[in-house]
This record gives sequence, C-alpha cells and structure tokens, in this order.
Amino acid sequence: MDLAKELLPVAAILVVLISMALVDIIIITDALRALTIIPMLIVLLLWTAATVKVRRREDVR
Amino acid sequence: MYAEIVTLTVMLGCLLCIIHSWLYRSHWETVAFFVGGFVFGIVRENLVALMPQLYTYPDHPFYIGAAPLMMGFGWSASFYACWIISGRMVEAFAPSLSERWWGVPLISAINSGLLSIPVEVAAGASQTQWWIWPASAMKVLWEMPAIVPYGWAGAAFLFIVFFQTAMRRENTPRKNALTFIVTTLIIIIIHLVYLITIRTIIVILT
Repeated sequence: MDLAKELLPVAAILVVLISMALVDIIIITDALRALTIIPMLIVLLLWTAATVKVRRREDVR
Repeated sequence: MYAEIVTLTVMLGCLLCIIHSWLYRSHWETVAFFVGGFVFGIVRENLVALMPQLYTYPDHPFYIGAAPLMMGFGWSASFYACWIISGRMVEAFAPSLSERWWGVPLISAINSGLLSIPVEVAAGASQTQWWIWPASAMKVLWEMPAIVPYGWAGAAFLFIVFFQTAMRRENTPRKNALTFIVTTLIIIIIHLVYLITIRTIIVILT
C-alpha cells in the first residue's frame, strides 16, 4: 500500500481540524467549539472503513 | 487577529494536496486544479468584497486586491481533499454512484460542507475575526451563518463537476487545463448566484 497516496489528502484535512480545534481551545478559550470537528472526524472514520474494504476486495482478487 | 494561523494552516493543507496530485495524477491536471483554484479564490473573494450582504476580510497579512492571499489556496485544498476521500467512500460503499456525473461531486459537496463548520466557527469569534459576516446574516452556531455549509458544498460541487467535464474533453491535456482555468470564472458567477438564491430562501423561511 502506498501510504502517501492514501494519507496525504487525509493529512491535509487533519491539519485543518487540529489547527481549528487548537484555536478554539487556546485562543478563543471555548473548548465546546472544538466539538465542531466531530462530524468531519466521523467522515474520516468512514473513509478508513472504506479504505479497509477496498483493500480487502483487492486482496481477494 | 491571528490570521497568520489560518493562512499557514491553509497553505500547508494545500501543499499536501498539490504534492498528492503531482505524484498520483497528471501534471496538467494538477496545474488545472490548483491554478484554477487560485483564480477561483482570488477573483471570487474580490467580487464578494463588492457584495455587502456577504462577508469581509479585515486584518490579513497578504492581499491580492481585496482577497487575502490564503483564499487562493483554501478553496482548492478543501475541494481536492474532500474529492479524493469522497471518491474512496463511493468506491467502497456505493460504486454505482461513481458512474454518474454528479455522484462523487455530491459526496464531496457534503463532506466539504461538514469541513466548513469547524473553520467557520473558529473564524468568526471576536478573538479571531478572520472574516466577518454582516449582522443581518442568520447565525446558527456561534457566529456561523446558516448559509455557510451550503456555500462550501455548492462551490465544491460546481468546481469538481466542471473539472471532471473539462478533463474528459478530447483535447490535449494542456488545452483541457487552460480551458478549465478560464471556466473557473463561469463557476464563480454560478456560485455567487446560487449563494444569493440560498440566502434569499433562508430569509424567506425565517
């Protein structure tokens, strides 16, 4: 598996999510705002499940 | 305040996307997507600056006209990252969608709308004010107006549909890339008309 191919776009999203959560907690000092990253984290979980499924399908072939 | 944070975040995210595209897609596709994204971001935000019902950008480190430099990178980074992960999700869970022209762009639009939420919630606070919506905008989550996820989603859908269409044309890759970059000007107009329509619907419903 080519890790860079799989992970670079996900890393780009994670950079944004982590940066925004840190801004919420450290600069705005309202940790509740950081919970707004949860929907996108669920999307990334779905992407992980999708990647595992596609890899298994390719391994069967 | 602290606009350097969002500028560096967006530019780092975009750099990762450009590296991915350069390594795993054709070079002309990469040029088309990210130069097109830069043109889209800078021209669009200069037009937005002329529309008082939308937002303004105070206090950014670098501008091109009225547009912060980061907007030349931000839109394309969100479009690209959401497009790639959405393609994988469609491939795994709904492969029949990938045969439809709107399939992957639609999932990319939904994901882009979800990505907008943490960005806008951080951007609008009094401590940051990376961009400021007018008082008349209907706020739904801290300072985030209701229109925001629809705006990001609509932009992602239009950009990806036009990109896919341009890249499938039977021309040279260079000509397809140049065609798409010029086409981004049309995407901007369609997207701004769409935004005003959504805003009007929200005003009517509330």
